Amino acid sequence: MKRYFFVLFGVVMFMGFGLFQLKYHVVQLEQKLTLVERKIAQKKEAIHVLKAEWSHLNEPQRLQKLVEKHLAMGPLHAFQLISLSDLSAIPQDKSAPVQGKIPDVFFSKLEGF
Amino acid sequence: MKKHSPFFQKYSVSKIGESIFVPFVKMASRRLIFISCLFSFAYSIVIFRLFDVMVFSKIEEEKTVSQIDTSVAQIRANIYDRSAQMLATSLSTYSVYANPKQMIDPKESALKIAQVFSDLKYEDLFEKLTCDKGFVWIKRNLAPQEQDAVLKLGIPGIYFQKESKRIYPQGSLTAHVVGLVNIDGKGVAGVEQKLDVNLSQGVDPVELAMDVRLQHILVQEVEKSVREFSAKGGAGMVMDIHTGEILAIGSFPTFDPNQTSQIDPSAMFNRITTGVYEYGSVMKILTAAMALELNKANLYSVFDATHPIKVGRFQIKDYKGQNRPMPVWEVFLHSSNIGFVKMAQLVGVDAHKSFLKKMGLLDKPKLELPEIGYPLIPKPWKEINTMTIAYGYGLSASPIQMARAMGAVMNGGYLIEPTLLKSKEGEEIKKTRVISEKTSKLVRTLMRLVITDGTGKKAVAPGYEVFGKTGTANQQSGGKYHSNHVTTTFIGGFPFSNPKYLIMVTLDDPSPTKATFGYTTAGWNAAPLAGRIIRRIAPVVGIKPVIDEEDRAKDHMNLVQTKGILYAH
Repeated sequence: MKRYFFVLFGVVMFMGFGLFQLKYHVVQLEQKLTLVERKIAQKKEAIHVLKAEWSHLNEPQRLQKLVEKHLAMGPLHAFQLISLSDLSAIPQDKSAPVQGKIPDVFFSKLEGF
Repeated sequence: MKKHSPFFQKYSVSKIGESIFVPFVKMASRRLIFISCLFSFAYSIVIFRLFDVMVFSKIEEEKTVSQIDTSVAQIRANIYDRSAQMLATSLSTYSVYANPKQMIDPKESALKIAQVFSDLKYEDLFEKLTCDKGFVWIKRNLAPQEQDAVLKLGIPGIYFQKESKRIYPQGSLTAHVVGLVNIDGKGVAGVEQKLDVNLSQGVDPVELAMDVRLQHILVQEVEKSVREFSAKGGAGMVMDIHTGEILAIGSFPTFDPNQTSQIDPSAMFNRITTGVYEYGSVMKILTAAMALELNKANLYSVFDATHPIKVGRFQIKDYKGQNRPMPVWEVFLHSSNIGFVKMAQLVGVDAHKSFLKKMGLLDKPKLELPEIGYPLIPKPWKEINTMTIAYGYGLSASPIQMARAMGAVMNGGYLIEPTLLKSKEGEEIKKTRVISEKTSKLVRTLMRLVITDGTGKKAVAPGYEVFGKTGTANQQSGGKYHSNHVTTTFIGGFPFSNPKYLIMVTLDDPSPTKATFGYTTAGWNAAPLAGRIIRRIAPVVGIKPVIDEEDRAKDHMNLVQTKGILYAH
């Protein structure tokens, strides 16, 4: 009877302790989860803000100003367009330096990156 | 028994005898059994529950207040253009409010707050902080630095409220279409208002048919022309005539939806959908289509434009008249008022009216915007009305309404409702046949003639085969028409061999310039504007130009000579 009591008591203590540990662990995990979720929400919001900013930076008027300032490009002219099948109709200019093969210099420059 | 408990001693001295213990022992053991059963039962419940919690039950996450707070308080749906460029979105911001009842020192608080916000006055703040309410807004939608500054003040009774603020990354570019929301996030103009219910539920983003690249080109060129001709305003639109999708729609002057406090209400006027105008000669496209469709004329039927037509006190004359009998194609090419009046008379009042009804000019058009203008129709509609409407006076309609009718003339004869929303793939487009394929083709040919040999020469875009018609209408004020104030319009399409896009531009009261030799007619201002737009947008929408190789060679030589080496060959 006594032994039975001690065994039972031991089991109860053990389980109580286990339960406490478990609960404690769960609370910790929950806190971690909350933290992670909050971080995710913050990141999501940050991404959202960045997307809006990206869209703002892509505003055509701004891009046009940048292109005009930094690139020697203008609106595409109809005469600059040609279909592949029409290519043979264009007279070949023999004196042109770049023909067919891509010069090696383009590849050698890439090494620096 | 060596040792006796007091219990046993008590009874042992009572001399009641040994037999007296038997019922007590029995009772005690029964109690013990009863209690241990009770405990075992209780523990088994605990164990059972423990087992249940650990093994069977799924982890259900309860939402705590802090979690709800951090989730992006959704939030109005975004608006995108057809290639997912963001046109409107909501960002979360903080607003600061006060509880005046908790204020300890309103005077000092008001002073401190006024130092943080340069746009708030001390007097107003003091009044707010001393009022008898439990809640007053101090400022909505703070910048992060402002919020930080207010936090540092550490004034009791000051709180923050998370809110969302609508921002428009494209600024004024799409302002008239996208519209606006008020401070409480409710749509008050444009698509924001019309689709407010869908947007505020925040489920699906709205995808517009608009293409910001085309929109940019259109808006920029329209603005350029408005400035060049010192016009009161201008507008333009580009529409896909086979789907009714509006790819660009611009009205100038415009406004910046991000700066709500600085908006001039008159700039919010959308000339394309709200403004109703008389179009002058542009209307002749419909008159010609009607006469051809109803078999009252063919391209070679002759109309005599020798003499002006007298109606009561006034005369219908031609602008730069040919004063001779002309076939229909020449009547169209020279835009003879007299010829078109005769054409409409041949058709008759009732047929004219029902034709325009069929083309959707007599009813309010539908569009995903709240700002839609009603057409102005003559009541009663007499013969004189048919005569003037034939060449573009006496019936006012919004540009969007004209574009719908013209789209039907250009696309092979189907009336399609214009839409601001991107049509989904595989979605069937609702269309009604209003004129025959043949009539459509004939009228397109007439319009092509206007570009190659008529008033629309300046709308030419090499390679893109523009067709169209110019229209110059005298403006009316105080019941009189003024020939020195005009509305000029160009309506056209491209490419001629396989029409796909409609373009319409209009200028309100353009002034003559040196370059136009004093003219204010559409051929000198609206047509070149349309030409510039088409030349820029056609390569963007991917139309293969039809080009004569000789022209290309000549153009190439010009480029090399004028710009040096533009591209290496």
